Amino acid sequence: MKKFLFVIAMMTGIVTSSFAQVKSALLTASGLTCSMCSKSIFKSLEKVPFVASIDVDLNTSVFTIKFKEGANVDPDVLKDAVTGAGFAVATLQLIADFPDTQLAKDTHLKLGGATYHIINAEGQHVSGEKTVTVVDKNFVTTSAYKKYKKQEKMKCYETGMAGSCCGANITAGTRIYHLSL
Amino acid sequence: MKQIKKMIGVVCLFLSVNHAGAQELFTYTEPASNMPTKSLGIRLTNNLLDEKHMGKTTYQFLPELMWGANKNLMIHAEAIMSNSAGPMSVVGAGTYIKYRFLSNDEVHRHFRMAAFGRAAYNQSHVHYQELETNGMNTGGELGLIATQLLHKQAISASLSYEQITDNGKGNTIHPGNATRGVNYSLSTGRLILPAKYTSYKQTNFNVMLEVLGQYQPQTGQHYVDIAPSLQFIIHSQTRIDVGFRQQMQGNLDRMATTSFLFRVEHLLFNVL
Repeated sequence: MKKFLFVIAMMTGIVTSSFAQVKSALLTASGLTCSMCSKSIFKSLEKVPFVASIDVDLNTSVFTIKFKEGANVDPDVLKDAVTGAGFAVATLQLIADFPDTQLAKDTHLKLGGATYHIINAEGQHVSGEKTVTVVDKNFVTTSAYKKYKKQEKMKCYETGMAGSCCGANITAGTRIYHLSL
Repeated sequence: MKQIKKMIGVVCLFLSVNHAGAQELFTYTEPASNMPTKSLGIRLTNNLLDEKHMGKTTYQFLPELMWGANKNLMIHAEAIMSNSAGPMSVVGAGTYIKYRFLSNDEVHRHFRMAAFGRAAYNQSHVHYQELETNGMNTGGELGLIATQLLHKQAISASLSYEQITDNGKGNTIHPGNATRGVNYSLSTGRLILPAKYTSYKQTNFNVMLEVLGQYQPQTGQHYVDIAPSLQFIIHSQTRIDVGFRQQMQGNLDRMATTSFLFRVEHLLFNVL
C-alpha cells in the first residue's frame, strides 16, 4: 500500500501533508569571528516574524533557531537576515516533521509552507522528525555550491525556481529549495 | 630608512604572533566590511594633536552618525569641531560612503573588497602641507579597501586618492603646497580576550597595529605613521578605542606628528 502511495506521489510529482512542519533550524553563519558581528546576525534573525527563539554558540557561529508553532518557514527570509547583517550562510539544517512517506531522488514535498526538492534520497522511508540540509546557492559556502552543482544538473537547482524539470504539477517559477538527506 | 626597517620589523613580528584571533574593526581605518542593514551607529572621536609649532595641544572632536543602508552600502555623516583657532567650534562637516563590491565568505574567514568616497567642507585656516579631508581640509577622497579575515586573523589594506581645494571663509591653500595626495594603509588586529566566547556580554579586548601613509606626487613629499591602539567591545555593542599615532618618517609640515585618539562608538540594531 505504501509503495502504491509512493508511486502515486511520484506520479503527481509532489508529496504534500498538512502536518509537515519545520520546527527548528541549525544555521551556521560564515565570514565572522567577533561577537559584535554575531550579535548583528542575532538581532537580525530576531526580527524574522516566524522565529520564536534563538540560541547561539559564539565559538562556532551556529544559531539554533526555534520556529513558531504552525508558522510557515521561508529559508530565504532567514538567509536575507544573515546577509543583511553583513555575513553569509554556510549551512542551514532544518529539523522537520516529515509525513509518513518514502523519499526518492527528485521527490518534491512541502514543508512549513515551502516547496522542496530532494536531491539524494534512495527510496528510504521517513516518518516524523528528521534533519535535512538546504543545499541551494547562498545556503552553502561557495566551494560547497560548486561541488553540489557538479552533482545536480537539473536547471531548477541552478535557478532555485521550478521549471520544466520539476513536472507539470508545480507551477513554473515557484521558489523551490533543494534538500540533501 | 633605519626607522622604516624598524617599523617593518615591528609589523612582521606583530603579524607572525597573531594566531589567537583578530578583529577588523580598526581604529584608524575602515575595513571592507559594512555595518548591519538598518542599523545606526553613533561614533564620537576625540583627537588630541600635539601642535609643536604652536606649543599647544589641539583638541578635535568628530561626532559621526553611521547608517547601514543595505548589506553593501553604508553612509556616514560627521561634524568637525576643533579649538585650533580659538574656542571650540564647528569648523566643518563631511560625509563618507562605502560600498562593498566583493565578499567571499567561508566559516571563520572572508575576503572582502570595498570602494569608498569622502567629501568634506572645512573653514579653518590651511596652515599645513598634510592633506586631511577628515578634519582639516575641504575636498574629497576616493579609494579601495581589501580585507582578509583568516581564522580570526584580520589584515586590511587601503589605497586612496585625495584632492583638496581652498577651505571656506577665504582660507586658501599656500601657493606651492600640494593639493593631491595618495594615501595608503596596512592594518592588523588581534583578539586578546576573551580566550573563549560564552556570551555577548563578555568584554572583547583587541590590540591593533596600523601603518598609515601619504605621498604627494606634486612635491614628492610624504609621511609614514605607525598607530598602535587598544580596543574594548562591551556587550558586543559598544566600542571604545584608545590610539596613539606617531610619525615614523616624513618631510611634510603637519599639524601634529604625534596624536592621541579616544573614541566611543555605539551600535543600534534594526532601528531604521
